[in-house]
Amino acid sequence: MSYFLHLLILLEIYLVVAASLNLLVGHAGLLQVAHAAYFGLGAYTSSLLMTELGVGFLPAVAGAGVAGGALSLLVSLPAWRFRGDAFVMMSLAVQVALFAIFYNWVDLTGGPFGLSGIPKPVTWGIELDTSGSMSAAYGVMVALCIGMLFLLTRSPFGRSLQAVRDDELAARSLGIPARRLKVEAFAVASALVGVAGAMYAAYASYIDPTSFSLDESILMLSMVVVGGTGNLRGPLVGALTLIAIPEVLRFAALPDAFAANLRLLAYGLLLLVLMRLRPQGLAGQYRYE
Amino acid sequence: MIQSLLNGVIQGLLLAVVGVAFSLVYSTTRVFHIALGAIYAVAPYVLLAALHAGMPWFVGVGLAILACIALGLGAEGLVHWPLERKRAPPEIHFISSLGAFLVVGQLVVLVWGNDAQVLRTGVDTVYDVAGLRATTGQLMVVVVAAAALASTFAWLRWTEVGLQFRAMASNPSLLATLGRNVRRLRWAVFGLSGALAAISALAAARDVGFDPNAGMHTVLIGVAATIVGGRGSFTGAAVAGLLLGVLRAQVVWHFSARWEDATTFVLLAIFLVFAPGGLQSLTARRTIRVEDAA
Amino acid sequence: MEAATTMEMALNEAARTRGAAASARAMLRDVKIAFGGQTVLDGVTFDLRPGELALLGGENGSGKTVLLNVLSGHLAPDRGSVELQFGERRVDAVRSSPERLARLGLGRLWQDIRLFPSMTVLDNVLAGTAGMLGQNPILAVLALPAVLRQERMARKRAHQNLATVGMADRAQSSCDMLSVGQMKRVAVARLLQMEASLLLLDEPLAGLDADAAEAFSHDLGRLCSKHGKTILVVEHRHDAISRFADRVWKLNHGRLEEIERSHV
Repeated sequence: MSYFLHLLILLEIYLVVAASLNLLVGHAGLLQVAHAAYFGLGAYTSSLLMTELGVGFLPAVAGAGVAGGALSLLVSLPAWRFRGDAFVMMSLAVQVALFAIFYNWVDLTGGPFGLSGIPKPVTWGIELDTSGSMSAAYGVMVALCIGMLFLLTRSPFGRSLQAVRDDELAARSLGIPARRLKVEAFAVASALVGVAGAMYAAYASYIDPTSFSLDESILMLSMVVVGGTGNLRGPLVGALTLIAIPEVLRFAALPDAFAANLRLLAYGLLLLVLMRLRPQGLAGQYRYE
Repeated sequence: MIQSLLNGVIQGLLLAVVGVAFSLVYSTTRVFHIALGAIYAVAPYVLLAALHAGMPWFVGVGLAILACIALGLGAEGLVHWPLERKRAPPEIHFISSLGAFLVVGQLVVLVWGNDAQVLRTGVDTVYDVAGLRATTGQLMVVVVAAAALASTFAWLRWTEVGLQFRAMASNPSLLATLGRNVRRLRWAVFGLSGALAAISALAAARDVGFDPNAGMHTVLIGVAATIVGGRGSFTGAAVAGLLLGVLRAQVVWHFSARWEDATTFVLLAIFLVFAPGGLQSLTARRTIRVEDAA
Repeated sequence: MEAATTMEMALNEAARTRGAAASARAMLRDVKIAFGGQTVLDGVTFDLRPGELALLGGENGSGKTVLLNVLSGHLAPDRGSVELQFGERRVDAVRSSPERLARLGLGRLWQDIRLFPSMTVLDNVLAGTAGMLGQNPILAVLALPAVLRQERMARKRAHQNLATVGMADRAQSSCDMLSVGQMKRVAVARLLQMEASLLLLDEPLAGLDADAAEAFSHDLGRLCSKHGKTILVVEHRHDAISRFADRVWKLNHGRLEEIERSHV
């Protein structure tokens, strides 16, 4: 039972990761390979706020979101083209640079040894120290995040973003502020994944840089691409697949060390096959034209 | 201080080769050939396997280079050309390249494990000339990398195919006008890119050892070199690779090895923001830009 | 909530005012532009007055699309001035971005139409709506009642605009099921939704049969006479539109010739 709850909590966290990345990749059409870095930024920010400054859980989560959004603005606001290649390069740069900081700024982040002793969330006087209470509370938080994303994608913001993704030239000729929308989508996505990072940190109570590496970012991107972009079903399928694959592999009695590699291998194959046959992913509706 | 400069140049030569390897594919076909990171990683393992099978080292080297050429050709033949025929947008190429990276990279780990390996046992001989020190490994890097760069640039400059490569790089839309040749040229860039990656990987492996992750790490710096140097310019990638090597060595000397990567990629970010055309655009004459019209 | 309602009211008022002042004017003076040694536009001057429909003809490659690109802010001329007037506002098109001009009231119909392929017909038209509160992500979540109200009104207008172009029954269709003529109509509806006062149409009749072309031209004429739009049409097929055109121009080796005509 508690194992099932563990999986549920992971699913909840990764649903926010997937849905936020989906906003960026599926709706705004920007390929982000630094999502794990922002995830880590949220994790470290909230953990440090809680352990060093004694900040409560919810404010720390908010701080994590602000950190994610702020970094994205720092990256996107200086005048540069939000064009495909440039964005991928920039996100690579951010990922590697941020990981290097997590790994090397030992005084702040504990370096390779990470941060431990992250307190369990305490909200309204209740300490969430059981899997049951945590999965329920996280469920509420995730529902809020997904709800917000749902509203966004259905709004004129979402529609204009979709227009920009479909045909930026035509969208701009209608007066749609393409650049501003991309900056905003990027900020929302980064803030949300920062929040997911905070949730992850509080759940695991220990974080280290290996969870926020380029490999992890690639895994997250793969999760979204495989699950399907452009709607809300896709991230769910993506998050489920991400969590299910290691479980299935475990059933096949494979050593854990190999399981991680096999999962990555499986994703690699899925990506290759999907891009050839069904670029919109397993459950997606947007076709890259 | 001069020592760190020397170290920087040596590292820079390796990075220059990798930068050119990435730029060869990216500048001409606009494919973000991130799979090169895995191709790079394969080379030393093939050599190691050959050595364990009792083959002489030059056969092993040859096999390693061939393996990487084959992987490069495979990437083009199995992944990118079929997508190109369907006129897939660059994002699809990138994601596919990521897929290829994962597949090849993970196969390396599954077959050979995750541990760091070395190609030579024992301590390397150190040469001391006028107070400057270099190991045999480093000297080999210099020789091999310089030779690779020289021959590549000579080939680019003086052969028909090389000229076409340069044309493709400076004006990708020219691709269409080259007609039938495009397919052959694409094979050539992917193959040559693999060969250069192998050469760089083998030299580095001989010098400091290798592991499955070294590939992506080095290739990413190669990507940085391509951008900093200016996309569309092979010379730019080489020069930028060299400069990055020198810069990284300076960071190690003045601060610590810990900050090499952060510096490199913050620099890349700065270039992306303020000089997206790379060094090439900073030094080139002003070109008139036509707005993106229908 | 109050703030959002007030803002919303102000925006609606602004939109109404803009619609009321739907008089746009395009003035070009001595525009020259050359590409790679080849002069494409050689001192083009014209004054397209509010409510006029101008037809621009010329050989293939005579620079008609380039002229449109200059007008819509996509291309800067080497010499000359491009001044656009929307209601009371005068703006230099050379210094303005295409989005800004679009927001002021410049609408463009592309030669390749450019509908948004992943959206339905209705959503395509809705995409053109200006001044939506919901385009701001924070308001989209926090000011939900106002946003929903605006959306309802925008949808009503979108349906009306679709009806104006005769596509009311295809609102939920996806774009790949439409004929060329239907897609063009949807594109025009999108421009109407945008409340564009200056319309630039690039080969609107291409791909239409004679009857469809006739009907389309008739509708364009009405947009000018009844709705006061200023329209510049680049078109090969003169016969259909010239009946409704107030001005007829021809681009000949980069120079603009005005063809005198008596009004029908």
